[in-house]
This record gives sequence, C-alpha cells and structure tokens, in this order.
Amino acid sequence: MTAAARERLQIRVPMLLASGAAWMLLISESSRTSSFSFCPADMHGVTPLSRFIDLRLSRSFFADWLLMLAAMMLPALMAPVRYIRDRSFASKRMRATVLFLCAYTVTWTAAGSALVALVGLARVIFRDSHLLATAIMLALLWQSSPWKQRCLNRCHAEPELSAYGFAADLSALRFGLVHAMWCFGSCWALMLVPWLLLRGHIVAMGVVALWLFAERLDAPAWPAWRWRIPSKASRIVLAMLVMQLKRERQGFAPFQHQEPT
Amino acid sequence: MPYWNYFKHNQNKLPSAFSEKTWPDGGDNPLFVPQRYGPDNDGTVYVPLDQVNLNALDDPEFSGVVSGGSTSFGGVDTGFEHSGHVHGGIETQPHDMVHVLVGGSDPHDPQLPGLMSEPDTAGLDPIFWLHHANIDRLWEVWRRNPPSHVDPSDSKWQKGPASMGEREFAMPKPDGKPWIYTPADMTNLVTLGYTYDDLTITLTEQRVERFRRLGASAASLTAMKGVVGVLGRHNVELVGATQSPLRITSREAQTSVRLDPGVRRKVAASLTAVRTAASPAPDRVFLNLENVRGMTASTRLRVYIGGQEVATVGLFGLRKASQSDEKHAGNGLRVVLDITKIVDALHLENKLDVDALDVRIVPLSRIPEEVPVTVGRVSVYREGQ
Repeated sequence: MTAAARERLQIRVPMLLASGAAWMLLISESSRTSSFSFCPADMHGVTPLSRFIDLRLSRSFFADWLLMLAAMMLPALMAPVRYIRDRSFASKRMRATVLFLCAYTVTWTAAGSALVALVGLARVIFRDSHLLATAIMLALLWQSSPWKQRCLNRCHAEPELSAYGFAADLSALRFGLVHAMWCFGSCWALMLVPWLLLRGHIVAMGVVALWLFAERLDAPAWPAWRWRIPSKASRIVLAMLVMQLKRERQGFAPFQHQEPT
Repeated sequence: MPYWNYFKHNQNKLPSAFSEKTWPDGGDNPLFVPQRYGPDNDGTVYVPLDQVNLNALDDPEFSGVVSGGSTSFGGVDTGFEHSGHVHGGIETQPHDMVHVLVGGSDPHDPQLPGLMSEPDTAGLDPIFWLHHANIDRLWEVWRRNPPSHVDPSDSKWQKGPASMGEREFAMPKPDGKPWIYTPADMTNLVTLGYTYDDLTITLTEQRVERFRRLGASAASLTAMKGVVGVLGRHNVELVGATQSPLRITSREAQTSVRLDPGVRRKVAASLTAVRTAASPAPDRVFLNLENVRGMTASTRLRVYIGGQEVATVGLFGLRKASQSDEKHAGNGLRVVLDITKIVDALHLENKLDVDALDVRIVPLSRIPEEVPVTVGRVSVYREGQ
C-alpha cells in the first residue's frame, strides 16, 4: 500500500463506518415506520397546514434528517475532510473538521428544510402521483443541465485555509458553508425522488446515495446540457469486471506484455 | 533511443535538427514549429542551466503523499479521487520547467503560450518526444540506484490508470492501430527492446552525507549504509503558514511564513537526535506553494528562503488549473519544494529558533500587472516520525 493510500484510509475508515452506522439506524427505523419524518410523503391523506408545520419542526424530523445526511453524504465528504485535515495544524485537525461538518450540516439542513417545506406545501395543493412525476421530471432535467455540472465542479473546490487562531475557525466554517451550498445544489433534485415515494424510501435513498457518491468521482467538466451519468464509476466497475473475466479465462496473469511493432 | 539531454555540456541549446526552418536542400523542416518561443520569448530556444536541476534523482522513494510532505520521485497515488493533484519530483524538475522554457509565450501577448507551454498542445511540438525520452532516461537512471530506488509494487500502479476508471495508455503504431500498455510494461528497458547511450547515475547528494553533516556517529553511519534509503515514514504535519495570499507580478514578492513554536521544536529535536540516536530519523521539511493561480503562459519563478535559493519552478498547466470548470476545479497548482537542506543549515547555525521564515519569490518570466500570479498560501510541512 502506498503512503498516500494509507493517508486516505485514515479518513475513509471512520467516515465510512459513521455512514454505515447511520444507514443501520435508518434501516432499523424504516422497519418500524413506513417512512421518515423528513419525507413529505409520510403523511397519508390530506394534511392541514398547521400539522404539517408542527411535524416539520419536530425533534424526530431533525434526528431523521441528521441520520439521512450522515448516511448519504459522509462518503462524498471524504475528499474535503481530508483536505481540511491536511491543511490544519495536527493539534487543530479535529476542531477544524468538526467546524467544517457543523457548518456543512447547518447549511444543508437550512436549505433542505426549506425544500421539504416547499414540497410539503405543494402536497397540500397537488396530488401525490402528480408530485412524484413532477419530481422525477425535475430530477432528470436538473441532472442534464449545465447548472448541475457547475455545482458538481464547485464541490471539488479546495480553497485557501487560514492556519492560525480565529481566522482558522472562520475559514473552516466558511469552507463547510460554501461546500454545503454547492453540494445541495448538486443533490437536491435527486433527493426529492426518494422523499416523495410512498414506499421503498430506504432502497431509493441507497440508490441515490450511491449515484451521488459516484458522480463526485468524475473530474470537473465544462457546464453544458448533456445526459450525465457517473462515467468514471462505470469505467471502474467495467475494468474490474474485465479483469475478473480475464483472470477466470487465463488464470492469474495480469500483465501480459505486448511487443511494440 | 534518441533524447535531448539539456544537462550535458554544450547541449542545452535546442538541437539544430529542430531549430532550422529549412532542410539543407531548401525544403521546410517539419521538426521546426514557429510557436516555440524559448525562455526569452524571442524564438531562441535553450535551457538556462541555472533554472533546471536533477534533485529528483536523489529522492529515495517513487511514490509520495498529497498532504504537504514529499511528492517523491514519481508523484502521488490519488486513488479513485482526482483531487490533491501535485507533481512528483521528476515532473516538477526538469519536466515542467523544460516545457515552459522551450514553449515560452508569444512576444506580443504573454497570455498566448508556445505549444510546449500548455499540456493540451505540448505533444504537437516534435521536441516534446525527445524531452520525454530524456525523462524516461532519467527514470531509468533513478532506478539504477537500489535498494530504495524501485518502482511501486502496488498492483494499481502496475495496472495503470485504466484499472482506476481513467484512460488507458495508448500509443499509435505505424499501421495506425493502438499499442495499449501499462506502467508495469514500461519498467524494463531490456524487455521493451531499447536503451539509452548514457545511463550514468548522477546523484546530487547521498543521504548518508546529510547524516554526517548533522553529526551522526561513525557507528550509526556504518549501520545505516544500505538501509538509509528505505524510509517508509510519512507522518506529515503543518509547521507554519502565511496568513494572507501573495500577489506576484513583474516585481518580486515577499512574505513571512509564521511557524508554530511547538512543531518547529519537534523538527529541531529530530535533527539534534541524529548525534545520539542509534537509528536516527531526522525530519524532512517541505515548502508548499498552495493554490497557485494565474493566466499567464509559461510562468517561471525562483523561490528563496532568506537569502538562500530553494528552487526554480515552471508552472506548467497553470492556466488550465486556474479555471473553475476545468479538471483542477480552479484550485490552481500546488508546488512542493524540499527545503530540508536549508533547514538543516539553519539548525546547524543555531538559526532555526525563529518565529517565521522569510520567503521571497522572484519571477523569471513576464507577469503583467493586470494578470498577476497569486499564491493562496505558503506553508511549511515536516515529514518524519
């Protein structure tokens, strides 16, 4: 294992473990209830506006919301967390990481709550099936748009960070806030779909989380209208399959030399 | 294999086969390209020998880290992620520097690069291939200094970028079909069927010399021979950083890297311990120029700490790295420079007990006032136990 790979593992292991734990809790909760409190589709039938607002602001909403954010987003945060850790003094790495994650969570939660509230209000007016169809159309449209690409590109930003005192705290907070804004911009449309499903939230959330993680693996690209799929992740999977097939056919001979002619 | 060894005596001028506009019989020379402006942007192409070095040949390891420590001879393994790109030793010097020296920029427009100055167009200049043959030759020279100078055994490195979802390496054969190869295929010149006429090992400094200079005992010097290169320790941490960005135009720029007293003492202690420890492991120290951005082509800088020159740097790929919708997401370049020797000297002169290091950056190429080069942060990292 290379030194750089060892450095990556120091971040990947705790973050993937935390994400895995959050998924376990979400799965166990989903076996008890039909959906989560942050899902606008969790209230069957017509809901009075006052009850909707009460529920949105309830403690369970925030608990479920944080679990969802941890489960779905921690894998995508490995790169920025590693960056902030590397750019901070060893004695301040934990503090900087926590500040980054706090700012990220608060910003995502504020933007996400507004979106959930909007969808909830729309649900009071429109039928569920119409809302779901609209959300799917919106997700497809956003996925293909240059704005989505711009958000994805900005998710790879590694800004200058101060190292000393209050300025260091401030730059960690600013990094978390700005990263969350672009991350939300990149993810909101796809997240809407599992939120609006009446059944199978957890499976849909898993699929969306995988997609969101996979599309972060792609390098920034020029913003344009195009059908956007996580191409690097697809190539990794394909390369693994091809190697596995070769191994099965030829035995273990990974490096077959070809003479140049 | 033909190559251009600009380091060799009287060979730093572009070979005439590439610089002449016409063949001896009067026909156009296809090896000549007009968009090859040279270091003075006047079409005279040469490599100023005070702007290139072979320090990478003394790097004990192939693969480095992205966290601010050594990027080693060959560069860093970025895994599935593409962030944290930083050039390895041989890529920084002489590879990048020769690119920008040869390419230069249009004398009438410093934002218009020569072909060799930009990664996207460099391969269109025929001298690209002789420059890269020289880099390939230097790789072989580095490999001939075992036991530590060995290529990675990691299977992902051997299988190459195609195994990580990136493009595979492909070279067109004369019949137009691609020859697909991996890094593992490139590690043995005998198997590949070519060689170079000069593979003399050129080391800038033996690491044993460093230990001797720091006062290691004769017994520990004898004990470390043969194993000194095998370091395998990559505990990297920040020692200090500037507090505001640096703006570089045609005039030199100065800044002060404030050092954390605790971490600085850790560095000093590791250097002092060389005198008494049975197996000393003194820190290596690196200056990082972070988030280097700019839109001027073929930018070259000379970096000093105090009055001591650290290195010259050619910012190959700067313009593309500075654009937010390009591969580097606008993060700019990060340049990692080994300042161990300077820190050792400060320590031996009892001058390391300072609050800050003064860093001076002198431009070696034109940087217009209206298109400055900015350095987001200048930092110092230690790498040790």
